[in-house]
Amino acid sequence: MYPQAGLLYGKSIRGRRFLLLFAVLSCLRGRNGGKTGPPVSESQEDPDLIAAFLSGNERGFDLLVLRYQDRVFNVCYRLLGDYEESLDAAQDTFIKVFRGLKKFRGDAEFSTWLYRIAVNTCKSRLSSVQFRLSKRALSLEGGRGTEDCGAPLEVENGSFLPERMLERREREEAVQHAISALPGDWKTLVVLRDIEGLSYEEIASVTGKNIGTVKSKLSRARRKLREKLKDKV
Amino acid sequence: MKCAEIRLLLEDYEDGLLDERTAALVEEHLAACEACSAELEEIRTYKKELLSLERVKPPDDFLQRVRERIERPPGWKRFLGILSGAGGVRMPLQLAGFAVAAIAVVFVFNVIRLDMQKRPGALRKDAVTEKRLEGPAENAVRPEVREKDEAGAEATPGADLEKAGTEVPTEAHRKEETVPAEEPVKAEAVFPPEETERKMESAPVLQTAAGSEVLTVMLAVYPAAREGEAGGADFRARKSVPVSGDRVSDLYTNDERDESEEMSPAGPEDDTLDAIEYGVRDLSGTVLSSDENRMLIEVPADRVGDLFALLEKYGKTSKPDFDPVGLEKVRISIMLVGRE
Repeated sequence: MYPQAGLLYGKSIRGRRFLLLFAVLSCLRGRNGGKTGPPVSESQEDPDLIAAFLSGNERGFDLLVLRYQDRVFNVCYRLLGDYEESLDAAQDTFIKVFRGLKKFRGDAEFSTWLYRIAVNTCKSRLSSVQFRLSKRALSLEGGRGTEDCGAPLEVENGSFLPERMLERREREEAVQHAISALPGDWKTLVVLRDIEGLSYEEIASVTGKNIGTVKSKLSRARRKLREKLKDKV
Repeated sequence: MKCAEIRLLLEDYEDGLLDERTAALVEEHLAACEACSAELEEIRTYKKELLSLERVKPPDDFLQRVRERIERPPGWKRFLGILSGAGGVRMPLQLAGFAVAAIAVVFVFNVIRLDMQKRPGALRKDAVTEKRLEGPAENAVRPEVREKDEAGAEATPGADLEKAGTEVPTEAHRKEETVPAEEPVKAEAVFPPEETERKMESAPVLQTAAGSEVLTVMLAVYPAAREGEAGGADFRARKSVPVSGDRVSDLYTNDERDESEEMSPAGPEDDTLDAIEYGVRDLSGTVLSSDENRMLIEVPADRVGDLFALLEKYGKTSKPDFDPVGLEKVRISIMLVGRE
């Protein structure tokens, strides 16, 4: 009377095929939904989290994001000098990681690979919004530059800030402006070495340059930045 | 050790990267030299300054935002979804068809407009500028390019440089084709600096950018001799590399680098372009594109004089003879003619 009911209960060959297909799809869904794979915890090392993610537990990826989001975001902010742009760039970085983690060979540290993606993302973003940013940078010279920035020292009305904090904020703005004005390569090296504290070897790996080049370029960049900061203060 | 040598080591000293013996030498020098001690103090202040920068943090829901973006379907799917009425936005098929047709009309209109702009004489200002820029010196070089191309001369790096000009389809160049050569200059792979300078000074490639109030000038900068190196070394024209999005497409590039040079402490890569880029920004200019040996920049016309003064600091510059009066901005393609 109801031939479709037979399908649902797998009474026919077509019905069994349907159930099999359903089972396979359910498995795939479970895999995508992050409900499978080995359990993970915050204390696990990067390679374990990566392995968990690759075997289907997306919580592994989430923990990697939580572990590195501050570092990646800070690098993006120092390279781009703009909060919203940095937020986009940092998100792009992790999306690229999510999609490319299968290709991560593990012959370098995960953090180095991550920094490389972040730096390259910022570089392409810088070239596309360069004009806009340079205009914005000019406006920074006149006064506050972090209206759109969620920088920790930002307040609604500066008059309530203690004088010392105001001074510090101005100083930070001056330093960030000086960093933003550096040419691309120099800026990357200064941020990675003097702000993030990466070793020369790590920087060489991130930038794809040899250590000698990193050192000489960094030395020039620092000299230029020192001059600039001396002028500003 | 002398002060200059010590200063090269100060950053490594501060970073704790020197071996004990060298560190001891530096310390010995620092104890006796006030200037170097002051330099070290400056380095320390700088490092402290950068390390003490507040670490800017992402919003608390950062992971959630990343997750949402990962799970969001790609843009084209969302567009299709809107057209088909998914996601709560309903657009009748006729309206969707109308939207697509409107986009197509705008696109075609833009193509036609671009085409009109490219026609000779469409922009009077450009035409005037080009006329002003034409000169006998340019004529002296360009016909030679034609001669070389016709003769099918063997490809030399110098010839690549000359060919660059033939790919720039400006009215000025079309006119040049009809003018006979007065003093043909031969393209050579290696030639002395004097000849290079003469050649580049007489042959700036000038190009107006159709549809914009900018003027494109190509010039060469010869980096000053490095300290300790003998002057008067040969300049050499380099092989060509195309630059995407830049009509001045065939310029110069680095020859293969010597690996030993790459490892030298002074650094093999000339930072002249980096330094120029830095200076350009100080002049309220914009770097539109750059690579190892060249850079396309745009500066306000009233800062062109300052720009040349800046370039002179980094080497001998072939200064083209042109007058930016009446222009808002000038687009300049700078190439670095490296020393061997």
